[in-house]
Order: sequence, then C-alpha cells, then structure tokens
Amino acid sequence: MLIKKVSLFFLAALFLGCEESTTTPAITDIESIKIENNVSTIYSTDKAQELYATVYHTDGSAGDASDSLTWTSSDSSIATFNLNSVYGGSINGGDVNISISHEHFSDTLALHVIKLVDFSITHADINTTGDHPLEATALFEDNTSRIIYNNITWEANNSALFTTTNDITTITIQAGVTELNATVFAEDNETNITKSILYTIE
Amino acid sequence: MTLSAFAQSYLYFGTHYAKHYEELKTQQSEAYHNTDAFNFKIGFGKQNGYAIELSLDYITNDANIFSDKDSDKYHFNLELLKAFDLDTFFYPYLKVGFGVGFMEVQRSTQSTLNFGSYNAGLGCFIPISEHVDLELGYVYKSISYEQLNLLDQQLQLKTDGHNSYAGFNFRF
Repeated sequence: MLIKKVSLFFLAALFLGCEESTTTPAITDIESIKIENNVSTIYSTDKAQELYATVYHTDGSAGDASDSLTWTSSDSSIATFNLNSVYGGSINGGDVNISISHEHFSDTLALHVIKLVDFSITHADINTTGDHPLEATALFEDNTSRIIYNNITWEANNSALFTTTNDITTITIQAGVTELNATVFAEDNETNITKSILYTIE
Repeated sequence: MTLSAFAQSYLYFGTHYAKHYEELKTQQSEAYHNTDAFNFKIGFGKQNGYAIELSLDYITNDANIFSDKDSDKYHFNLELLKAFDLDTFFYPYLKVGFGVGFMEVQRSTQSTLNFGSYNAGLGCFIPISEHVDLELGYVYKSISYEQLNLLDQQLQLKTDGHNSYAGFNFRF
C-alpha cells in the first residue's frame, strides 16, 4: 500500500497532461473484399486481362487489393491466372467462377470464356529471308474477329527460328521452301485446328 | 560504509508498480494507452556498478486501439544497468536494453499482436536494509508493432512508451 502511494505521488507529476486511454479502435481493419465487376467475359486466345479487387475497411475507406489477394479459377483448363491477370486455358472456351480470398474473406465472380470457332493466318506475307512477325486472327462464337495472342503454336518444316517478344512471334526465315504451320489449342481435341502456308524464297 | 556493504550483493529479485503511458500517432489518427503496469525481475550485478536485468512487464489494458477488444500486454525485457556510487544515500543508475512482447487482439485476421522495443531509462536504488532497497525510475520504450496487413497497405506502427515506476528489490 505504501509503495503504491509513494509511486503514485512520484508518477503523478510525470504524467500531468497525459491523455486518457483510447477506447475506440484507432487502427482500421478489413471489413470485406470484392472483385470489381469490370470483366465478365474474355476471349480464349486473348492476352491476359488484368482484374481488380477492392478491400473495404471498417472506417469506411477502401483501396486496391488486387496484388495482395490469391486469385483462383474453378477450372484452370478453361481460364487461368498469372497473379491477378486472367487468360484462356488450354481448353477452348467455357464458364468458370473466379475467386479471391484472404484468410476468411472471399468473393466470387462468374466469367465466360468465349470460344474460338475458326482462325486464319492473316499477316505472313513473307517474300524475303530474315525476321518477319507472324499474325493469326480468330473468329469467335460471338462473330467477333480478334488477333490471337494465346493458345497458338507456330512451327516450320525446316530450321527456321521462332522468337516471341511482347506477345508477338517472329520467324527468322531462310532461303528455300518453308511450310509454316499454326496450330490453335493443340491440347484440346475438340478444337485443335492447324492452318498451313507455303513460302518459296529465292 | 553501510552503503558499500550493501553494494556487495550480486543476485537480486525485484518488483515494481508502474504508470504506463503509450502514444500512437499516425497520419490518420492518434491513440493513447494510459494504464497501470507491474514488473517482476531478476537481476545480477552490483548495486553500485554494472548489472543485467531480465524482467516481465504485465501491462493492464483499458484501451482498445488495435481492435474492439485489446488484451493486457506481456513485455519481456533484457536491460544492462550501470549504477553510480556518489557517496550519498542512493545509487543513481542508467540503463539500456530491449524487449519483446505480445497482446491478444480481435482483428479480422489476427488474434495476437507481437511487438519489440528499445529501452532506455534512469532511476535510483535507495537501500533501506542490508537486503532490501527501494527503486524509483523512468524508462522510455520505442515500441514497434508487428506489421498489419490491410491488403491495400501494410501498416507498420510505432509508439512511444513511457514507464515511471517505484518498487522494491531483494538482494542476496
């Protein structure tokens, strides 16, 4: 008892002007997370499409949580993720649910992957040796035509080199006869389509 | 003569009552923790020289800063102390050290919050018998809390802790 009285006297002077304890949380917390509904469809051969998620806090504030969450697809053969970017899987088109999660927070969104029905080699007017960019265009089930960036394989019947930079594939062609083959969805038995074009360079 | 005789002790145990005051200031908010604390320690060293102290602070908590229900805190400290013999009735000292601790919180994704501290303080031992001395002191603690993940930002919180105390030591 004596020690408490002595210490209280000693301490009282030191703590004059001190604030009372804070009883309402001063540090905000996570209230919910939500996928921003800016994307409901993607094309099966498009470039990866970035998705966004928002975190809502208990103090009413919100912020971009896209990079902090785990993104998953209910069927990664139809749509798959690279961080928060989604792109078509090895199967041509379909419906999936995409989800974000963090501890016990989660949100889900339906995503339709639009199916390719046909394609053509559209930019391969090769008439000299050297480097030439390749391009193929897909026709989709919604009658849209789009350049193919994903799920396409380029091959040649000789030792021509292929390099891909920033989603553009380039062939280094040699003199002679070259048969160029483009295959879409090589792993999808239902869609697997190959188109060929023949070049003769003197 | 009496003081120097008392100063031969090496192992000691102590307890003290403290007034704990902690300030948290961020860009968005300010918060305060003004409460009682109790310390239990074991020390080894001279009353008028160097000593090392291992202690536990039990800090009561009537504040809710990190969640709707913040618990009492437990804070372990290891401090090096240097006391001086100024040929008077008490031995003033300086001490430095560090500590680690934890508290329970009720956050959405965390139930425990850990923290660490750097400590620096001053005080004095006042011998009142061969084996007992009264201790008065103050210690400042620079406290860093475990990072809080808010998903859109990582909050790294630091607070200033002030601990003024009075207690007894029992020397053997």
